[in-house]
Amino acid sequence: MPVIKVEDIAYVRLRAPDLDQAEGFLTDFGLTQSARTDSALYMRGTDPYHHAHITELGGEPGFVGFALKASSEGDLKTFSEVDGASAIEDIGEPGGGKRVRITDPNGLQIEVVHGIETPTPLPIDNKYDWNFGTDHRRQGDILRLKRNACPVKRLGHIVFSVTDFAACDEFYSHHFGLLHSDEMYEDDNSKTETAFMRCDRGDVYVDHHTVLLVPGPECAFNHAAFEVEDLNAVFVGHDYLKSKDYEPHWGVGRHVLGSQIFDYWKNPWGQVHEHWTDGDLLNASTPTGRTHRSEALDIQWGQPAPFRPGN
Amino acid sequence: MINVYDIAYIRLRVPDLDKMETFLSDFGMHKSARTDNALYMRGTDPDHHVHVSEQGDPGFIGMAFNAASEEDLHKLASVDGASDVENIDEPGGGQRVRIADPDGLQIELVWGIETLKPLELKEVFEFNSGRERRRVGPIVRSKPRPSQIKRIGHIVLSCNDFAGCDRFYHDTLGMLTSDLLHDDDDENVAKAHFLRCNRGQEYTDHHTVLITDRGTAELGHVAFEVEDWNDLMVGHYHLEGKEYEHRNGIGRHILGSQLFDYWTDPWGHAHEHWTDGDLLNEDTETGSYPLHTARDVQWAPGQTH
Repeated sequence: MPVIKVEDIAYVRLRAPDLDQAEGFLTDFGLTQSARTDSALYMRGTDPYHHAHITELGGEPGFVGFALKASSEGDLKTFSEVDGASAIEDIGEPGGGKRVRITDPNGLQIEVVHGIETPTPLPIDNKYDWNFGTDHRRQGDILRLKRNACPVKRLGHIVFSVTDFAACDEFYSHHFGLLHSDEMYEDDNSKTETAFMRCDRGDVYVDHHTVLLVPGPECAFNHAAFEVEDLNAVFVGHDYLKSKDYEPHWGVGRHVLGSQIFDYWKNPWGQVHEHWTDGDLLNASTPTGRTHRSEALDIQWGQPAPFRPGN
Repeated sequence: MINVYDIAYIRLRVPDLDKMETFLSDFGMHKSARTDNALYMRGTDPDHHVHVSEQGDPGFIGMAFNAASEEDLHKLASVDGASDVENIDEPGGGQRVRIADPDGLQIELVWGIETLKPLELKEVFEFNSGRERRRVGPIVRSKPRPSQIKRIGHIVLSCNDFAGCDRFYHDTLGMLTSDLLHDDDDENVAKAHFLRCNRGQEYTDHHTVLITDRGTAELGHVAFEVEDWNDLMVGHYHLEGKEYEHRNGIGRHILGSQLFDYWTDPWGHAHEHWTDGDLLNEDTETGSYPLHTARDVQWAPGQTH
């Protein structure tokens, strides 16, 4: 049995040397400022959660860690009793709430959080139904999209590289109850090199992956992925970021594993942020898939990846 | 005079029917019939064919519209210059009346053409938007393949006699104007009209014919509806892999709102895939825009603002 079963990812915690610049990028990317202090920037999506993205002010751009949502305050208490975990503490940052901190095998700070403020959802532009060939859902309503930043709904998943996948896999499965959605092997079919991991909420359907750990020469941030409303949002957001001269990384396309429509962009320090929509939803009964690692970056449509797995 | 119900098919002429069949199959149609001198291609809808290619020098012969009733054939047959009601001596049969539009294009009004069993759609997935989860459990797996063309949607005409064509499509075929486009610098100069069928309260595509004032009569493009945006994307990369000539797309039009993707056949006739267009009825008010709006997009990754 895992120590607890987390219900979702809450936020990513990055470090950047310039909060104004970070806020400029994230605003154009579709997040909204929730709070800003002398030393940190808190950005939210349209969903009622105080922040989905924290940028701490620091000399070097970096990856501090991320937070997972406990499903109850009781789970925080349970988690605080595990080896290596902090006591339950007040977060002491905008949005409040409580947390337990633990360090993962890479030295990353993982927070398990509960009770963070849930402000009113933000309005979303550009919500239209679709006229499919066999199902007309938008009769009489003319579609006119506003060509603004596409609003981000929420943080969906995080991907980072690790030097010891087996140890990390054990850590995340044991501490947070994460399940394997798709496992990948390389030369030896019996050895799992990496796995897409999702939350275990029993019968409740969740994203295909919340955490993906990819083997690499060092622990490093790969990307943070934010859900947007739909296909129009992805493309409107793509055009908008392009008009602002940010650096595209990959997309628009459709992944195989997870099925998301994806579009990756770099922030001013090269940290990759993804827009995605229309991902697969699984529950605890969904069987684990198993594929060769070369298929991790396969697409259902779009241009092939401009980089190799793990880079 | 009458209100046509929809567009039925386009009639092109090409020198090589084998080559055309290969292109149209890659584009997402299926062969319905082939004779010594013509190729008939269908979509997944029950219509016997939505695209006719006759053998000969490359050219645009005309197009056919579905009549709303058999009686309408007789009404049109009474118009000056129209043929009698005649049997269509081609695969799929049916009856028609022929009439030339002011630019000399052959217009057929058709009725009673054979309908076939619809073709089964593959890989149609519900989608999960931010506000509504509709695909809870099933996963998406789209294989590279042609798009699945459902039906013909519209034709764009470059007109020599623009005013005459405007009168013909309104007065003789009963079409309504969805959007008027005027010269970018002079709003008193009409440059193009988006025309739709008049079906009363029933909703229909934003445009079935687009007439443009170009001083020459030729085909702009012909457009076919595919099942959904995933199908359009899959088909785009299939065609890209075949190295056909890509014209424009993927993007989203403003007027009509369709997601679009334009390809050309081996002789330069532009063929469009589209999905998710606006649906209007007789109550929808006519819009008025400068001409550039017809080329502008709501999004298109290949174009800048």
